[in-house]
Amino acid sequence: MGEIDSKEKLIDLMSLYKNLVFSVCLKMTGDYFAAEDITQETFISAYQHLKDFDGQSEKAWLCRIASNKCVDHLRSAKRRELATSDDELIRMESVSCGSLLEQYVATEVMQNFKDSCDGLPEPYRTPAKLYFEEGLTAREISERSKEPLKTVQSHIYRAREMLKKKIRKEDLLT
Amino acid sequence: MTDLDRTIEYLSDDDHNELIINIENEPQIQAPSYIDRNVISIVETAERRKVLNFRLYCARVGFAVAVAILFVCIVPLVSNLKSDILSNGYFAEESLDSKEDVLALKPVKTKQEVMKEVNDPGYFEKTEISIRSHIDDLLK
Repeated sequence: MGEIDSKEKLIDLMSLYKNLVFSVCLKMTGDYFAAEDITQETFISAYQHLKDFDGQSEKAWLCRIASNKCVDHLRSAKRRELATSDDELIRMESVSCGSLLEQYVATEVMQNFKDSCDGLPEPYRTPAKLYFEEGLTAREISERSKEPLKTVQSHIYRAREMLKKKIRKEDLLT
Repeated sequence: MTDLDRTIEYLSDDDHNELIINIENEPQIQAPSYIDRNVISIVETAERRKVLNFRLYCARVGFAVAVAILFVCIVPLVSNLKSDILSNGYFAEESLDSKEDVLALKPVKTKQEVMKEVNDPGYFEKTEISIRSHIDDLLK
């Protein structure tokens, strides 16, 4: 399979299964930004191993890559957590008892993310909502709001950092 | 596998299928649209880097081959030059005096002359004085 064919195949896969893969990641990690990263990693990994794919079920294959990556992410997150906390045994037991599949509801995680976006102060809220929720590019937001591109990019970057902190802090508290 | 890895295991096929069915039954979630752009950009950057690395590798191999060919061409020339120098006998012809010439320059005493000198009664005194003078010269 040529390089251009592989790229076209990747674009096809993303347009068909992006939402499903993202939902799997969201459900398993409960973290919007981790889900976003893992979704990207899943498609990159799929692109790299396209030659090895037996061609049976693309959906199952992609979801398997995504779920394995989510488990790896949870394991490494747990390791980081254990390195900083003393009550490791209690935490480990709680993970082993609960099923991974029942930990998060994807729609709830998305709703929490949208609420967090709404809670951002201006001038970060509007670009964040346009970028994360409506899927506009930084250039499109800049044209719409008549602000310099660099300013919009920096607002999006800062909004992302604020959202990450806020969401992960809420997760720790719950 | 560590204890931690055992507590968070990879999904079995059944769990995996259940997960997909559950997600498909829930209201669909829109993934961020920039994911496509990011993935394509990462893939293209990786491809460009791969091509660049390959070109760099080709350049290195080409350079190494060129140097090797240069050596192959130069080494016989150098060894020919060396053998020419030796075979032409530059060093042999270069102002080396023959044994006879060297001996002719030095006065060599015959056996009779030496015996005569030794049998001379003042020989030992003369020799002693000359040795002492040599020692004195050396000490000075």
